[in-house]
Amino acid sequence: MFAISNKLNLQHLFPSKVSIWKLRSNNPMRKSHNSNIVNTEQFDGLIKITSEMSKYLYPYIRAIISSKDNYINNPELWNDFQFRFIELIEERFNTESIIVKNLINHNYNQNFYKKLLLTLSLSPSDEGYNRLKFVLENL
Amino acid sequence: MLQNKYKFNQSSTELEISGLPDYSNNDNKDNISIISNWKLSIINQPEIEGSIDHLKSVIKAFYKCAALSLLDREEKIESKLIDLKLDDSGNYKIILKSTKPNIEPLKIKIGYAEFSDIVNCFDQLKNFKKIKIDFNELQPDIEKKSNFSFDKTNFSHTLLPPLLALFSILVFTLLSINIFENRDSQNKNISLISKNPNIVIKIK
Repeated sequence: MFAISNKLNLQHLFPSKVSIWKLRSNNPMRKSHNSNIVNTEQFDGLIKITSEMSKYLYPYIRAIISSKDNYINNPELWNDFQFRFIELIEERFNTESIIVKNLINHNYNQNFYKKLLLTLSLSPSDEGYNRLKFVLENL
Repeated sequence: MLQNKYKFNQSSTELEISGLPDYSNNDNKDNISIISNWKLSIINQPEIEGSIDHLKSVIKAFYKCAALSLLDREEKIESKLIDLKLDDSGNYKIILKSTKPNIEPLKIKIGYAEFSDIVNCFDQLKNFKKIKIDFNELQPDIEKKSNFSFDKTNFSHTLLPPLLALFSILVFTLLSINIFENRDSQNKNISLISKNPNIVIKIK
């Protein structure tokens, strides 16, 4: 993330890896949750980084979505992704919280994970950045 | 006159645009300002092609559907040339209507992966400076969520309870003031000594 932020000339917003880590710990679902103020420039910068990252990851994201679309014939990738995603959530998020419990609940999370991947797959371009920004501002 | 032809690829999808530059607008010979033909090929699906109006309708429908899907507002998109909706099985169902008479509409079903490929192809087209299409008219017209919009259900769920609470506090306070005022006036001492020395009050 830091390398991409430098590539996008966002050093003035994210001068070090710690500054990005601080913003990540803003997520109230994390175990190490801290409230920091995110200004609009940083918010915009994070959207740019997400959009740029999804450009690099598009082939992988697409392959996982495709595995879910053809789950009967090709379930491996989707299952691997789901397993690793839940593992990461359990490792880093507060699993006592109801929202986090729902996130790792197998019955609830399928559509949510698919929607997350669809969001990323529609973000890797200038237009994708605008789309992601519009969606986040209107959630 | 030779036509210009450009292709945009994204995984399972290829979009091909052919056309001519508009020399009356001092266009470069590599540009396309007049689109004569376009073709969208998706693996395992029939080819889609048509006029510039079809292309504009298809782009507009896909952009709107993408934005609505991300906002979790799954509405059916209908126009003269294309219908697009997400069905219960999680696939996008597309109906392309021909402008020619006696031709049945073309029905296609695609998954999320193909849908994002198509949208990304259109994004590449938008960013490609040599093909001139006015994308401003193709942007999805989705109502922005306003925090201050008046919605009946929203009103009854969020604003009505605190309003009722404030109203009951107001009524209770007014009643309390009245009762205390009455008690105060009853407890006031009445002096029988008049300020005017000429008046004598006699109590029998």
